[in-house]
Order: sequence, then C-alpha cells, then structure tokens
Amino acid sequence: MYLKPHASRRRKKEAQNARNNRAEIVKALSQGQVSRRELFKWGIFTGLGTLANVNGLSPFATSAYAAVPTGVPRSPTFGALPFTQPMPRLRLEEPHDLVPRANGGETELAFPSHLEEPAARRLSYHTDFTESDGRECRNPKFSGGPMEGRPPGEYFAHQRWLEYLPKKGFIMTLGRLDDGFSFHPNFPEQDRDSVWTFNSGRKEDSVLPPPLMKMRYGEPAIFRHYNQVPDDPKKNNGFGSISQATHNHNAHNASASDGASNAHFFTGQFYDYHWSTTLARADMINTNATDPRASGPDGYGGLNLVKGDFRELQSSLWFHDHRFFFTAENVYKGHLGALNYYSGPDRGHEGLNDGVNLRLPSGTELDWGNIDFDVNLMISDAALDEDGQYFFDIFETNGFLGDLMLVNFAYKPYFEVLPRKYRFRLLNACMSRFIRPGLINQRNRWVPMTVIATDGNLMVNPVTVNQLDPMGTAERFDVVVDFSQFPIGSRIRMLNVAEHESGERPKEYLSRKDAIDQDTDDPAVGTFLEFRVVDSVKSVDNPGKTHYANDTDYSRVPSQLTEQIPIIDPVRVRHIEWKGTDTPRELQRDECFPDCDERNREGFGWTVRINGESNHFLNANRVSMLVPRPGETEHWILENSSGGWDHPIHLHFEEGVTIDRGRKKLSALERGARKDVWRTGAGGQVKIQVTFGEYGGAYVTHCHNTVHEDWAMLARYDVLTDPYDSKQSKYHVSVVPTPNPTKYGVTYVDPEILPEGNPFDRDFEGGVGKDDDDEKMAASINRVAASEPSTTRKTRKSRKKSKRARRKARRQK
Amino acid sequence: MKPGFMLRGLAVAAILATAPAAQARWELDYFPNTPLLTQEGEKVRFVDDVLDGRIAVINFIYLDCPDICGLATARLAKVYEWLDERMGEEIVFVSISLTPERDTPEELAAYAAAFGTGPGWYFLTGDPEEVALLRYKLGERSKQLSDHRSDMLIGNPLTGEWRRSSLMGNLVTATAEILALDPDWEPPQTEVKVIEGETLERFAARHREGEGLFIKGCAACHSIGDGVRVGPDLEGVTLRRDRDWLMRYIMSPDRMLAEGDPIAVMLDAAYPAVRMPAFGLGENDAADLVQYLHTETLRLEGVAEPAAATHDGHAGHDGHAHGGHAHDGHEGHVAHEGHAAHEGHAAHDLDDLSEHHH
Repeated sequence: MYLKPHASRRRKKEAQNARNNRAEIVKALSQGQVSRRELFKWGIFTGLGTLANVNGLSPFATSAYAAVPTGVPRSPTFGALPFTQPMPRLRLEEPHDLVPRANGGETELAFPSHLEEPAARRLSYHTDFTESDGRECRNPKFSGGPMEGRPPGEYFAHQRWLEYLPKKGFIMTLGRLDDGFSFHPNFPEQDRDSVWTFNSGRKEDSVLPPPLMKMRYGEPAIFRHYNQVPDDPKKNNGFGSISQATHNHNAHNASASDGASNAHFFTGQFYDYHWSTTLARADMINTNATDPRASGPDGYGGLNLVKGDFRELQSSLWFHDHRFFFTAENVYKGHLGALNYYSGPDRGHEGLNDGVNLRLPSGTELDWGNIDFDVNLMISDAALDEDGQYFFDIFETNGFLGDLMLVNFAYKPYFEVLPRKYRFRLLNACMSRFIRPGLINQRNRWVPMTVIATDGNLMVNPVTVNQLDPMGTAERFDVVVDFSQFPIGSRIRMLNVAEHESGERPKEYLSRKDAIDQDTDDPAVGTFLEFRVVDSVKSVDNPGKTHYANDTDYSRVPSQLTEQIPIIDPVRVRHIEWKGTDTPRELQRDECFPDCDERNREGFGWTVRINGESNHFLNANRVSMLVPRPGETEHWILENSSGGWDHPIHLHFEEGVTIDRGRKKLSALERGARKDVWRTGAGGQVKIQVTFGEYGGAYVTHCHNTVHEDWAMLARYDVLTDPYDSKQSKYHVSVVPTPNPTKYGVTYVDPEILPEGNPFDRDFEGGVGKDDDDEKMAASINRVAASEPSTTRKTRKSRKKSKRARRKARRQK
Repeated sequence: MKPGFMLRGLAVAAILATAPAAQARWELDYFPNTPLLTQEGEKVRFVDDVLDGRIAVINFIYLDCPDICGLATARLAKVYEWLDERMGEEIVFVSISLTPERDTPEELAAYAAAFGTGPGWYFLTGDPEEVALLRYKLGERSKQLSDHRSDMLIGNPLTGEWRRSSLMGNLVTATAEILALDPDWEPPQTEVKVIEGETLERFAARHREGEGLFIKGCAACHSIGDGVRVGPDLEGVTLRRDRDWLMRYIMSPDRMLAEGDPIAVMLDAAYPAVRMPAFGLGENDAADLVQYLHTETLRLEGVAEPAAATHDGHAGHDGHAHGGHAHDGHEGHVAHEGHAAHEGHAAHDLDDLSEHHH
C-alpha cells in the first residue's frame, strides 16, 4: 500500500515532485492566483484526461516506472522518533447519580439538577415529539426534528426498564476536535474536522485520548450520547458521516441499546442507550441471584449479587460507531471508547481477599475498578496527508490501512511501569489491519505474557505465550506481564509481526528478527510501544499518591479463573458462509452458457449465505436467522468461503464458545475460549456454541473489517422474546420493522411490499401535503397495512399506464 | 498566472501525488476525465460530459454477468422511474462496463432498452485500460469479476460529497439518499406514527411465504399480472409450467440453458437482452417462490379472495399454511403467526400441492 522505504531515489523524488506540484497548484488556487475554471481550461484537472492522470495530481494513477497502480506516499512523520512521547491513559469518564421518580405511569430518572438534563425515560422523547405533532421535545438545533434520535414507540423503548433500572448516567458529546491536539508533539495540530470524538457532558469541543468508562454488574447505566458534529455533511475533511450510532461491543443489551439496528441520530440530538449490565442467562441460570460469583462490587468491600451465569461475566469491552455504510470512517475518525466491566471475581482490586475476588493486577486505592496497574491499550493505525492531517480513503473498499501505529491515539509512545505485575487490555482498534503483538526485551528476546481473557471473557486457565494470536479488528486480549524480573531502567517493547500488503488480509506473520529489523514494505510492522521500568509512578486512582518499586505487589494470577461452559447438543446448527459465492461449484464444460469462461461462471460475492440457502442479500428476513425462543443453544459454523481474504467475524449481543476450526487445530488461546470476534482465516472456518436470551429485537453479525462491513458483509438476525415470560418484552415476540431515521424524525420501514407505501411513487397518497387530508393518510395507511388485494391491483394497473405514458412523453422530448 | 507555470509543473510531476488538501479531497480533480463511449456510440468524457456537475449514481455491470448485474440494473430502473424529470437535468445514472473489451455500445443499448431506460442514464464502455483506472478511482477495486460490487456509489461533484448506498436494501431509502445529496432537497414530510403493538401483528400478517424473496429478487424484472417488464409476466406460470421444471429453472437457469432445455432456450430467445440470472437459490427458497407465484395467480383470478380485514380473525389458521415446508429453523414461523394471506382455500390447495412434492 505504501511506497517502500527503500524505493528507488528516483521514484521517491517523483512522488515528492508530484506532491510539490500539487501543493503549488492548491496554493495558487486557494490564494486566488488562478481560478478553477482556468485549471479546467488548461486541462490540468480534467481537460486532458489521460494526460492528467499520467502526469500525476491523482493519487492512484499508473506510475511511469511501475506496471500496476501503487499506493500513496507514506505519511509524513515530521522527524518524530518512536518512543519520544508518553502514552496517555484513556480519559476516565465519570457518571452521574440518577434518582427515580414517578411520571404518569412511568418511572423516569432525574439527573442532578445543575446539569439541566431531561430525565432518562423508558420511551424515547421522540414518542412525545410525534404524539404532539412535533410541538414538544424538539431538537434545539433543528426545530423540525425530535430532540432524541431513539425511534419512537415500544420497539425502541428500553426493555426490562424497572428490573435493570439505571443508577448512573454517563453524558458525553461527540463533536469537532478542540484546538491543540496532535498525534505527536512533532506532528501538526489536527483540524477541528479531521477528528470527531468525545468530551464529557455537553462540551461540544472534543478531546483525545478516547474515553474509558468503568461499569460494574448490578449498576445499570444510561449512556446519553449527544451528537454535535457539523450539520453540513461536507464539512468532514473528506470522511465521516454526520449521523452516528453507538454499538456497545459486546454487552448483553436490548437491541435498541445495541446500537446496530439502523437507528442513527443527527446533529443536535441525543440518544439514550440503556447499558443494562445484564448478566447473560439471567432468565435461566442462578435466577434467584444466590451465586456470589455472579455479582458486582458494592463499593464497600462487599458484593451485589445478580441473576445469571457467572461463566458469562465480561470485562474488557468497548463502544464504537455502527452507522451502516459509514462505520469504518466514523470509528477511524474518533467515535470509540473503552468499557471496563467489573464483577465479583474481576473486581479491579488486587488486595481484597474474600474467596470470590481473583485479585488480578489492578491496584488497591479504590474499592473496585483500580487502574494503576491495569492499563487499556487501544491500538490503531493512522494515515496522514501531506499536510499532516488525518486521512481516510473512502474509495478504498478492500480494506483501509494506515501506516502509523498509535496507542491510545498517540504515535509510538512509551509508558512507565514499576517492576511488578501489570494487566494490559489490548484492543485492535484498526479498521482493517490485523496485528500480532509480542513483547521483546533489550536483547530482542521474547518476554512472556499470560493471557487471562479473550474478547473480555476470562479464560478458564490462563495461558502463557511469547506471541499473541493474530488480532483481527475489534479482538481483545487481556494479558498479565510481570516486570519484576527487570532492573530499573529496562526497556521492553511491543512488537507487531503482522505484515499487510493490502487491507484484504495479512500477507505474512514475520519472524521476530525480520519484524524487529522492519524488513518489509509495511511501515506498521515493528515495535510500536515501549515500557520503561522505573522506580516510581504516580497513581491515577488516587491522585497525589506515588507508588514505588519496593511496594508490595498483592496481585495474583490464579491457575483457574472461571469454569468451562460445556459443549452440548445444539437445538440447531447454522452454517454461515462469509462471502459465499453462489456459483454452482463444479460446473462442467457443458453446463454454462454460452461457455464456461470466468465471466459466465462467477458467483456474486460480498454476501453472507446461511445454511446453504440463497444469498443473504436477497433474504434479510429469512427464518433461518430468527432466534425464535430464548434460551436455546445453537452451533454456528462460520465459514470463509472466499479464497484469498481473511475476515474477523463479529457476533453482537452474545458470545460464543469456540469449539473447533474444522480440520485445523485451535490455538491454545482459542480452545474453549469465549469470544465475540473470530478470525476465519483465508478459506477457513470456525465452529462456535451460542445461547440467546433475555432480550429481543434486531441484531447483526458481520465482518469486523469495518470496510468490508460497510459493504455487504453483514446479516441481520432477530431474537424473539418469550411471550409467556412476563419479565421479557411483549413487543419483541415478533420481528420488528426497521427504523428509517432522518433529521425530521424516524419512520419505520417494512420490506418493500407495496408502492402505495412509497412516498416517492407518484401514486403515493400518504403524503401530508397541502391538499392531502388526514383521512386520506389514514386510509392509505390502512390499505398498506391490510394489503387489500383488489385495491392494490387496480392501483398498480393504473399506475403502470400513467408511467408508460410518462416514459413515452420523455422519449419524445 | 500563465499557463506556462502549469506546464512546468506537469513536466516534473510524473506520478503520484498525495491525497489532495483537506477541503478538496473528493472534488472534481480526484476523478479522471476518462474518454468513454455511451450506449449510443457517443464519445464522452467522464468528468466533463458524464458527471457534468450533476448528482451521480454509479454502478458497475457487465453483459455476461450471470447473476447480480441484471437485478441491480432492474432495481436501479425503479429508482430511475421515481426520480422522473430530475433525471438528466439534475441527476445522472452511470453504469460502467466491467468487461469493456467485450461490451459494445450496440449491445449496451439493447441492454439499456430492456430496462426501459431513458435520458440521463449512461451505459459506458471504452478503452479497457482507461476504464480500469476509472473504476479503481471510483472504488471498484475488485481483482476478479466475482468480487465486484452490488452497491452503488453516489455523489455530488459540486459539493464533493461521495458515499455508498445499497441497491439491495430498501429502495425508498436509497432514493432519499440520492436526493439528499442535493443541498436544497427536503424529504417528503410524511407523518411519523408511533407504531403500537397492534400494528406489529399486522406487520407480521402481511408477510407471505416467498413474498419478501419475490420482491427483492424478482419483482424488479417480473410482474404478476401487470404485464411484461424486463422478463415475462409470471401470472399463471405455475399452471403453464411443470412444478419440477419451475423449481429447477429458478435454481439454475444457466445450467438449463447450457443443457439446451427447450423452454429455457425459447425464453432466452424471447428476452435476448437480459438473461435470467442464477442467484443460487436453495430448494426452500425456490419452493417459497413457487408457492407465492401460485397463490398470487389464484388470488388474481379470484379463486381465493381473502377476507377484507386480513389481519383480523386469523387465529383459527395459526400455522396451517406451513405444513408443507420443513425448513431448518422452521420454528421461526412463530413470528408470522397466522399468515393472514394464506386464508381461504387457495392456501389449502397449495399446501396440498406442496406436500405432494416434498
């Protein structure tokens, strides 16, 4: 993708010349010395077509010295050397207390009054907006739309509201970047619209690094997310959508709060996500909440017991944009954050010995959620344009790669550690890049890491490795590293050996030596993070306090962390093929028409195929993707039937137990591991066991190469609630319609059934226009709903006629 | 400022420039002004003549495409009809050949005519190398035909806003997304209703076996009782064709054509411009479609006129229409409790029919 560091001098000079030339033109243009019109006229931009391509000014033109189009020049680094800036910790986001109060028949939750926030409610404020004909609860930035983007009515009301009534409320705003941020002190400051990310409360100027929210079981929360990005879609510095949606990856929430049901929201609006902290299997296992392992810290050394299966406790989660078609550019642009979930066993306190707490490395200053020795590492790749501005190629559809490695959005930083045990929560936050990390010491030898969790799920038995498994986008590993073996002053570096040539898949996992020497054209290979062993560090849990090298390390890594969920006979098996082409496989010579040339034989890719049935793109409502009854255990075979690509497949809402990889061996980190993202490998497959329950609605499973996801590698599945279980939503016993959000409000979209329901059709009578009255509207709605066949037919025929006439008239023009 | 400056600049700029400056990232200068041939054989330039400052909807097709291209074009044709007089003036559709070395303007013209296209919709071919560069820059970077895109690129060259939209999803949404590229456009102000539980049942009741599949996969080219579109009218097809033949033809029309099946050959000759695509449908899907076609035929002929208020009183029919379909995951039909449309004896007839064949 990038020009080689040792590309010929001539080649580099060409690129540099092109860049200079380009800059000169842009400058001349911007300073008014030359008009765009003149440039057209001279043929520089467009007039000479091919010549302009050959002569550059176009990032993908064919090189005069290379046969194939190559990539863009490397990102400029402005002389920044690796490991010259400290790694920032993720910005800790503090929640507010919520106080319940009655309002009509509903229980709503008041924020502290000085915040002047509307109360958190079960039903979206959009419901009030709609019921008042748009007079109440308007968007303060656009009076024609509702203030909350969450769709109206019961489908998107919070499920099990009273049972998991939020006690805390997080308020954050996604907005333009505040002044003064750069990825490294040497790099130029980022433009306000190069990055859109978060700040606390209603502050519209956003800041980096991304936020960290600490959650605990038994303390449900509301995440109130304000969208304050520019309302002009063009003001995005080339990428990013102004409508956004936030997926909690991968907590156990209702679909309205999963953030991936096509419910995005617009500038000026907020969306209340109900992060319920529901422990999976709450309706099946430990339903009386008597198992002390199924619990969350109470803040006073004790535990709040919760319903559900302790084996399904989660720890290292994250949240990120999930706007269909824009996910990659939005997440890349800064719509992401980390979520640490704390529980009785995984308390975030290493000193407390109560028989439940595992005492994993963390600290002792707080009752729970200590992060002095428990550090989030959000690893991502970035590309900069020639001005040093953050860059994303929206036309790169095979997978976008950056060439600068960032940790917590800082370019190749260092981090000071004490000589003791640390827990690191690694997240691959790249859009398409696979990474494969390992640690090396100053003599370039491996430093072992003990893996304690995969995708935020505790392993039954920790596994010590030199190198982690390759991490696809969104995969997480929690590892413990013991620095006590190293003298003060030691430097340990994190090494990435996964080499990419394109965004489709990693080309190769290099040897340690080649990776260290960066014997590759991929600039993201090599060391990207340095740990420096020091004799004192400042506490973040207890500001003002200093920890010293000779302080006692109370932490432990027990040999067993949880229990294995056994593999059982499934109720059904689903075979899900990613990019499964539907070509009849072994077409013989006489079986294609007119011949068996590739062009007649190819099957359409970019799809998901289920149980050998037809392509998903035709069949989004296929029953084979309904999960009809909560509590049923299924086996899913995730197969990558495309030859040369690799796909990290993500399942929303539930985690799966990894069973096997067909004929291939599972790695030590995969065997029986609970995960929510699986690499299929090129041409490979993986089998998982998954049980669904507690909530209902529309969810998705998709390729977490977000660039692939933005294409079509995404399948919707609907989980239905049990109509006989009074705890479960009675509105999700059937398939829910899809919301269709606009800034004017959300309508619900059914599958395309009748043209009468289509506002763009000439014969659509449902428009609330000047001469349409309400009766007509109601009649139209009823007709659509009842799909009266006789009316339908008549309308279709007459429409057809008028269309033909129109078309004829057009041709005659 | 004299042209000389520019020429000097060009002389040294032999290859790649970096990404354009922030505000101009995807403006006109990003796109090559590729010389192309329209379906009328007219020589045009991509930027100057095709885009020409208009909102553009771009997709990629090729004439021998055995599956997705025809469906995509047919669906795009629906959007084309809806956009009506905006087409050509403000909005342009651009279907670019992926096999320009094979697809001639004449053939493209026949293809275009089959979909009832008119002004403002270009079917383009040209020099293969030029077209390859253009498609690369438009984000169609597949290395083999089977990897090509099913979606479309939509954008406004005047504002520099470019994005993608699905042709296989909801076309109303897709149309709104195209129109939203016009800064002055406002969406139609339909009243937003809060859907209540009762409506949910109606929603479920409206789902008939095979209907969703028909609408997504077939309706763009075939009507049932509304006459010939791109392909034949399917009213009565379950009567005039043997069921086994119909099943096989739905599942693999290409293979039957290759085997020289007389009906397949006849149909291909009768509709020469667009070949019946092979979507690789499984048996269950094909059976659903056959059932749907049959039910619709009977309904249109008044054999079974469902009760007016189909969503009411379906309780007595719970599940009866599903007996013939042993799908995997069949329990899912809970969702479609009381498939209202199957009421009446037509559904029963068809169930009988299905059972014979299962």
